[in-house]
Amino acid sequence: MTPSIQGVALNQREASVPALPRDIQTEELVFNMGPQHPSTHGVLRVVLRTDGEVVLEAQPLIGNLHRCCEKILENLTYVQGVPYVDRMDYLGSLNMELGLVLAVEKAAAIEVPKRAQYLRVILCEMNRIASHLMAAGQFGLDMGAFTPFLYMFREREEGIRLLDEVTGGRLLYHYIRYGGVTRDVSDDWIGRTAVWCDRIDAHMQEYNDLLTYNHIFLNRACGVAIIDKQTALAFGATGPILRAAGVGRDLRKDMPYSSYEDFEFDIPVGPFDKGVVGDSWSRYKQRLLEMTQSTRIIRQALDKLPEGEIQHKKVTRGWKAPAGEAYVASEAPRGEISCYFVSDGGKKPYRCRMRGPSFFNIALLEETSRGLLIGDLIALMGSIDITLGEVDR
Amino acid sequence: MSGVRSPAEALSDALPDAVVEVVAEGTHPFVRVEPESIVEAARVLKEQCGAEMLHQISGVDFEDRIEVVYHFARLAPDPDFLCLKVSLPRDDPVVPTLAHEWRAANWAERETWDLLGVRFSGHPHLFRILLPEDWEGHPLRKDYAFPESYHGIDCTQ
Repeated sequence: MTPSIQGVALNQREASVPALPRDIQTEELVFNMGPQHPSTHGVLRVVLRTDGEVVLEAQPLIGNLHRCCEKILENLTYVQGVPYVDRMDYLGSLNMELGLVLAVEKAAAIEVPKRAQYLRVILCEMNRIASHLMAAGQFGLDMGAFTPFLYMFREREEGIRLLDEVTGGRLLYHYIRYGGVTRDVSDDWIGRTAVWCDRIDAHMQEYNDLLTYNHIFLNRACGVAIIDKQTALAFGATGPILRAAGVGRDLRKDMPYSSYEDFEFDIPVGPFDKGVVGDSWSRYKQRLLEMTQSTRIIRQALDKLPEGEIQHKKVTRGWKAPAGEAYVASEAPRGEISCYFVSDGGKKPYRCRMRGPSFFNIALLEETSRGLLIGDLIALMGSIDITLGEVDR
Repeated sequence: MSGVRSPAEALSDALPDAVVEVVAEGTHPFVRVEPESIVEAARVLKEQCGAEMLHQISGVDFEDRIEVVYHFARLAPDPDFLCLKVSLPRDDPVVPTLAHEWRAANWAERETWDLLGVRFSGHPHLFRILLPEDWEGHPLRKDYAFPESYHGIDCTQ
């Protein structure tokens, strides 16, 4: 019996696979990678059809972590709903909260005090650095470099502690509220956060020495699993993947939200000093360069942090959004999170459609993996950097 | 360069019969088109309004109808989101697929089918994507009843 996936027999799809050089013909094998596999970064199941070491086809089968977050949001009041979106991308929770909150605030025309906007920027960028350190470190792990992961986690841990001090949570924060944020920061915290930013920048050289320009790592990642500009745009891929492919799109610059227009920063765009545009190494390097830009933003925001209230007073427990709708996107660590929000004027949101950036990014896997070696498929998956909680929602 | 026309203007010129409703002001401007014209309407956005990326496909159950909402992203000049909507009958919502021209639509439409039960005619692979293949019903419908058990597993607790 021919194995089939969701109704389509695997051998029916052979025509679409490009002819591969096969010196030694071997038997085709169909097998599962995942859902319990360390390099799938969660519970992703990929069905592989291989000829020896060559991947003929890789089909991601998702949904193992599906909770129907959108239905949950419809069943909760506005204030109750925010902590649920934290659980989508649990490595960039603050950015997820911001994605939901911005859409509701736009539809309901809520003004956010300037101090709260700056605090959102500071904490979201810290969250982005923590997430990128995780992504870069894990990519090193996937490529067989164990030590850099520990070095990156050293800085990440300090950042998480700083976030913990303000929000009360290490990964899932529930810090951003409609109309502002929950807690203010102390002068002491501001000082220590500035020191942390300096340390990130100082340690960047160490990461480069240990991993980025390591000869083995370069051979392993440069020119591997190229995602070009057209493919990335066609599949709706965003974030570091799109920018490493040479498209300078970053919503913080293109459609500024939450006062990002007040800060000076650059958008790194591939290709970089090694490798070719859109390869695995460029996606890794993209994240390192973005961290440096994030520390720039944090420093400026800490310096210019305005005085004033941190939450608009109108938004309290029984708050209802007036009837209306809005679509707002913002830049999360893994790409563009957006929310299409519809309100009927009731106590609960009528519809909150969340776009998970990883959902669109992982769809690239099937297209890009054809003809790769199995080892290079790991490089592709590691450099795309998905969070399954947000793919499956 | 004809990259910056507004969707309302471009669609009214190119497909006057297909445009049902135009909302140009407010928090969420959109153009509502006839479902059978969605592929041409999307093409007009691509050719005349600079829509380079399909950003999201959403579905909303309004109890008297189902709306499918398409958001396209214009990267440059003047980055923005361009929105198309179609209204479908609730008992048999069918709309032509965009998956042949916009590859991002493949998974996005599968998700809308899975969670909301909108069929995309001509879709190359319209199967459930997030829920198991044998799941019954579409959870984001407003009248969806949560199952009491699934394969003998009690779901009521």
